[in-house]
Amino acid sequence: MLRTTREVWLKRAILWHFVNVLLSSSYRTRALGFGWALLDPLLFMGVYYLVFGKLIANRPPSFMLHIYVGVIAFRFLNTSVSQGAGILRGQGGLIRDIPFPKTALPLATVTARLFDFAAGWLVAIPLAVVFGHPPTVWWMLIPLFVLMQALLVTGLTLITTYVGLFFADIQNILNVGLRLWFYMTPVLYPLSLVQRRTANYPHLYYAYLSNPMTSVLRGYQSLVLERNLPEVGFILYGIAASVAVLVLGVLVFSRGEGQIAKYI
Amino acid sequence: MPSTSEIQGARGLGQDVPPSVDPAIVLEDVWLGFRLRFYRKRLTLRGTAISAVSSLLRRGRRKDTEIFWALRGVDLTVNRGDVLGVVGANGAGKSTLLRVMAGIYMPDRGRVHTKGRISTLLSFGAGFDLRRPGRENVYNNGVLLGMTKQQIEERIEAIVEMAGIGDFIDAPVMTYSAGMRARLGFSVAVNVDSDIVLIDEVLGAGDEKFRRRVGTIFDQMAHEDKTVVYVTHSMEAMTRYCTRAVWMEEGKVHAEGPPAQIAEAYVAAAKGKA
Repeated sequence: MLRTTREVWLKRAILWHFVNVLLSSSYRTRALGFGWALLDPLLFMGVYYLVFGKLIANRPPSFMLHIYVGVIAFRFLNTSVSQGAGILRGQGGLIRDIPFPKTALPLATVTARLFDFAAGWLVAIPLAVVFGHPPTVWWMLIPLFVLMQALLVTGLTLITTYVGLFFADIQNILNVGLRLWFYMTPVLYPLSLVQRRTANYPHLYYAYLSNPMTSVLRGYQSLVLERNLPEVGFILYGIAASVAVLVLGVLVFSRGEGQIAKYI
Repeated sequence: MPSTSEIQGARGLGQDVPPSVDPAIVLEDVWLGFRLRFYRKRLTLRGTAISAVSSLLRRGRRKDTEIFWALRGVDLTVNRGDVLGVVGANGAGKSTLLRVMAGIYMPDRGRVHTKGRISTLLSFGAGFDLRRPGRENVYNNGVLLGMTKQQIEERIEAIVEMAGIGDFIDAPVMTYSAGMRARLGFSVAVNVDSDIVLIDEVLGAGDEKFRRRVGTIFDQMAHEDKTVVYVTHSMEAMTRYCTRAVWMEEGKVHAEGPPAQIAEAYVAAAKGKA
């Protein structure tokens, strides 16, 4: 797969071609087009704030920004991983008839969804102004955490792409699993809440922190809301976990890449 | 062959081809198998979990290893400038052979070396998206076969002209007749500047006028030192287009030689069996 990744790089046109196809198929048929990429997270932010904001006492309006950042970050993970699971089936005819590096498909999926994520960050700018946390120089560091998340998402997407070839039911598992993962990450509540509640069970707290998405989100939240870097532990753990997942994804996909055309 | 490249590595990267009579495609003892359990029915997690548990219980006795070998040790060399015809009964491994040459299937055993860029026409679908217009599909396939947008734009008129489909190029591919689809697929495959063209039995759908044209195009490609591998069931087409022929049987090369001779032997054998 490292070889084919090199090949994908040499044939970037193929990657861009698929990114284009994926982006246009997501939005071409909708009346609002690309507007949905921007509107969808805003609507979810509103719903979550209405439902969960009341449950958590004394949440200032700026907590909506906290929710928004979490929602767009999770949307990037969610859409990449579940679209990846179906992409090989969707492109079966091409895979059997035309020789091209298969790695391009999961990589294009992640890249297309990264565009949505970037658009989400653009919307975050006026939102941050409205909620009284206008962008600062700290925002310049956001791309580093986006990169960290992109490594994680790429690794997971490589895995779901390959597994999705053999098991159609991975979609059902992903639906539930991603939902669970979302609630186990500090999106709808602050991390400090978990810390307080688990004060007597430090092991439980560390188990909670083993979720690499928590590290990623702590990065975004610190930069946007606290105008600071997250604790160094989150940075180091986030990098280590993301790289590990990416390596795992590369191993799984490269083992199976030669089999894809046979069993599509 | 020091300058040949392994198929996994340099497939389609446009390797430099030294000028001399040398092989464009070399297959060394190529085996390719399909694990039947993946086809028996759609896999489910439940089924896999059950069979995983049961195979753990019956350790050492693995039942799930039935493999259908579509290619059983193929040794074959195709030289530059060859137009190679491939004949054989249904299920003899002809289409699998093409997909292995294209690098779409990785061989389970043995080695495949190819030199130069490969283009393919492997099915009636030709990888086309039926709902999209012909023009867009030409563009898509061209990109996947390694051309730039600009190169395709330069060539699109020639492609449409050769396919002879006129204004249909802007209509969805599903409105095409089988012959039109085959002609468009063929036209893309031979116009994308590749060194090796692999074509499965789809040209049969073309009319007489188009078949004559195919002959001229193959001749011209051979002159330009390009390589064509053409799977067919038409002995007439094979003797008309090809400079060499192989006869596949049960995943092996049964015979190899001049097209007329192979055609005669193959037809005689088929009559004997019928």
